[in-house]
Amino acid sequence: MTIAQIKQQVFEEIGKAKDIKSLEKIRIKYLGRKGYLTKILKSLKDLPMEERKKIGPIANELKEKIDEVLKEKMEIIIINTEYKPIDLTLPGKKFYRGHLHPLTIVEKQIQEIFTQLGFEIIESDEIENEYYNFDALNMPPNHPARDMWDTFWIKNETVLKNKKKQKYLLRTHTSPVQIHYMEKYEPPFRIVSPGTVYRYEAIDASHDIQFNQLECLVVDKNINFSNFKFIVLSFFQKLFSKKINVQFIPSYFPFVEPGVQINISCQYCNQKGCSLCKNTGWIEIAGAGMVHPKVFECVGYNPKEWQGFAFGLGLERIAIIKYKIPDIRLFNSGNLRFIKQF
Amino acid sequence: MKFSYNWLNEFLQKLPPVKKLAEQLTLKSFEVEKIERKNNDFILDINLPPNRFSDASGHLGLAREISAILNIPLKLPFFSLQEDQKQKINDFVNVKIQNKNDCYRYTSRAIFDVKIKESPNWLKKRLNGCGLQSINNIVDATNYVMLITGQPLHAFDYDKLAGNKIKTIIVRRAKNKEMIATLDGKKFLLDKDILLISDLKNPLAIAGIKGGKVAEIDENTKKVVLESASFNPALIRRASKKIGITTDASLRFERTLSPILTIEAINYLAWLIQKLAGGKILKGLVDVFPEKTSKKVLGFNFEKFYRFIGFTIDKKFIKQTFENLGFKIIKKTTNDLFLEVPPYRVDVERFEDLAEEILRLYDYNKIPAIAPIAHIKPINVNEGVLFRNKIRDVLISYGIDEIRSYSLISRNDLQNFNLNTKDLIQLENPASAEYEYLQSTLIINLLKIANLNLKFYNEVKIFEIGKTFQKAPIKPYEEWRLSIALATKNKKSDELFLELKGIIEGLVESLNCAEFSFEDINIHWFAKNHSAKIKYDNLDLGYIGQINSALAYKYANGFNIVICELDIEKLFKISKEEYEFTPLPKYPAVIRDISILVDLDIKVSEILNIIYESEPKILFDVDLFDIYEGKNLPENKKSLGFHLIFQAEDHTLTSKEVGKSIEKIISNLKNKLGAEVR
Repeated sequence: MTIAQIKQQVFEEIGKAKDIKSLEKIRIKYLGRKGYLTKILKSLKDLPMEERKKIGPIANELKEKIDEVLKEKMEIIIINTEYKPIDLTLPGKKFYRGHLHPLTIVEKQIQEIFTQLGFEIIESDEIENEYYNFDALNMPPNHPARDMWDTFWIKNETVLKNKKKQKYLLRTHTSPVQIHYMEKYEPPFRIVSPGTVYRYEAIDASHDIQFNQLECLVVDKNINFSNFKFIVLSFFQKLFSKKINVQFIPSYFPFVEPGVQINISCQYCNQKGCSLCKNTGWIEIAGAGMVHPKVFECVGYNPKEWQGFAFGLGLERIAIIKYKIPDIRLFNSGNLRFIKQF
Repeated sequence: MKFSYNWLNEFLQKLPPVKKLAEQLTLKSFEVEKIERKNNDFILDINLPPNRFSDASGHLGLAREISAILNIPLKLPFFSLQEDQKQKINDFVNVKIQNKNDCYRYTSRAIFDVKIKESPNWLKKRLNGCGLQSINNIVDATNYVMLITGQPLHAFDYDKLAGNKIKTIIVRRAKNKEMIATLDGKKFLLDKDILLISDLKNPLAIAGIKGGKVAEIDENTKKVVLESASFNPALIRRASKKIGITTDASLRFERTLSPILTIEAINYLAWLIQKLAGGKILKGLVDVFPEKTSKKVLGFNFEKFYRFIGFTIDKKFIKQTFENLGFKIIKKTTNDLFLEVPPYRVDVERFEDLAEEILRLYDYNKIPAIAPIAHIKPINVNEGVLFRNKIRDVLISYGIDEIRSYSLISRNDLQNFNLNTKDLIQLENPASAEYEYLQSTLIINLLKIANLNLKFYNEVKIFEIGKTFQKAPIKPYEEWRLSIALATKNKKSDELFLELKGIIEGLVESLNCAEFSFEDINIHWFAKNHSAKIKYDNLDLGYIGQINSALAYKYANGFNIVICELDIEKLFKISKEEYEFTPLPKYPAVIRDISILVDLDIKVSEILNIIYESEPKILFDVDLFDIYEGKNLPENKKSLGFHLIFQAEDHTLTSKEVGKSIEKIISNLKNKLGAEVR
């Protein structure tokens, strides 16, 4: 086919084409790898210079023109194709997703924050013996501070530790993990340990017999109180918001000295006073302090060489504040009307 | 612990308004939990830490603390004791401590010719404000002085003690099965773990806990013998737990009181009793104090302190603070202070305790937050935690909700599930019968929760990742498990079973675990022929099954529930971390369908085995796409449709090759299973 013949035919064919498919056929017929016009363009190189100069521009011009007309026609076809209208207000097809438990969501966030801060995640058993839950944490038998942790004891199960018969119990806090870890590893280190703990308590809207805690422990040569405050502040700022305030007040835990209670500014009322913060503007969130030298001695660290800090917080409490959950009993209830909200 | 604002005000000048006081106490000393208005007073409920009872459980002690934190002067109560010059206490009272490790100090005074009467109003009000009942002027005086000094006190009726003129008081352990009747008329059977105050004949009091009936002060009492003592705290605590009584006295004694307190308290008490009840205070006091406590001196190095806190605090402030708190600076150099600890501060034993004193009075909230300089080292990722999170993510992507529940189950549950109490860990002091044993399987609580939710949903799909517990020879054993439950009001149980099986298979693939096998097994929790063991090689990973009708009725109103439980640690062990590439096929696959009719009881796995065995070379995959039984089929027969996918690694298959293969497969199915091709 000559250029003239192509010129004569191609536009007529395009004009008659009714759909994209026939349009594509036309494109291939003329511009495809073996198309009529492509053949002419390919043969140019074999022509004498004179002819090449004459035909070349014409062929290229025609190619551009065909491309252009094909494009225009395609637009026309697209615009004129009729579809059966869809009611766009119909609901989308359901893809049901499951829901993570809110504590899992909180745990994951906390794990991520601490991982970013260079902490390792450690786990330990829920059944503990007296030594790890109390003695090694500077609470020998008949220490009055043991009253701060109402304990579920395990029937008829004991173990020998330090030549003493130790009773088994359900751990009342995650702090025993400190001892297990330090017995096994040498400092320096930074660890966090989430886990389930148990307290013998009457169950009500703010108390449960089974809940979750997170323990944090840092031991190093020069880790000091100001560093401790920095880590605590950074953690809560990442977990809640940059604007959060943190308050330290004196408190007592036998395994830290000095011991403090950590309060955060109430996120509900912006410290204007509400029921959650009991009108104080502050919410109790964690117990903390510098590791007591007796604890270091107990695991064979030299307290003159090492210092560190520890804190423990309740995960339910974090979730309660974050998601405004009014009743701690919901967490263990398995109620899907609760779970499906997260 | 309750403190009266007005009372505190008597020892302090310029006490700020109660709210301001409470705020400062909370920030610098002890948390004030509640402020209550009572008559014309405010009662502060203070959460006093157990190590501060010695110095701050009395109003005077708390006032001393307030004076230090607010830097306002303390006004000590003034009294002067008028002793009788003729009668000496040593001629009337004699004290013996049997074991100096049980009782560190015992101080006694006696007052004769007292008059028992009702207490004056001001005294009643004071006691009442702090939650104590008024009894008579003598008993009230002992309580009043305890509320000031923190030292518990007791009074005996001299005339009721055994002996003629000289009465002997003995601090000793009870004998086994010895009895005592206490002031409230109750009787207690004692043993040698319990410390007693006794005379030569009878027990007079359970030491540090409660007075006895024998030497009770009554309206006829004329002569009183006073007790101000210091006991071994652990002993008092153990005794108090053992006999089940906690009193204002025992609460204080079990928290370590300094023996220094006894003298001031007994002197003040004697003076007060004389004021309230008249009488003569016998000359002198009996003071048995076997091992005098020595003065505690601690060094305080500024450099060490600055390293500990990470910034500096003005040395002047530090010195002033120690002095305000009653510490004596006995020596100072540029870098060190040598401090004599006030004797009532039993909590201060080391450098860290001193650091706390400075920091809390400086105000923790003024401490800067400074980024630590720490070692950088690669973190060991906790694989177990990640693995469990991955399981969670896969399961929620399948539309299954995560729940959490208690780890505890009831005795009733054990019976229903035929679990052996011998294998289960039991609590000594369960909160209720509902939570008496640690669970050895997650499915009991999951079942309860599935049922609870069927009240609100027609279909429930839930999973839990939790711990299960079992007795074991060395120590109680616990492991992580996964349990998934599907419950429905509508679907058939077979459908539900296959759905759960599919979920497990999908999970296995997502976790990149090796493929499991499902083996028939009968577990009594499950419906007959509706349960399987989940295995990998010889490893038992768990089981799957439909809850049997009895349990379904007990726990789930008879609804269909299919449940599985898997051992997460084992799953973790067989999961691979890495993937391995297999080359993509170079030659096209050929797909042919066959449809066969077989007996109902023939298992799909049997058919598949025969198909694969018939063509080990070019048969690439087999897919079951249709199962049918019922209408239009002979009885006891089912029809199965399979896609057979053929592929060769080294050439394009011809239809002749494939045809030959199919013939072989069909003939084997006919011969071995009696299958008919449709």
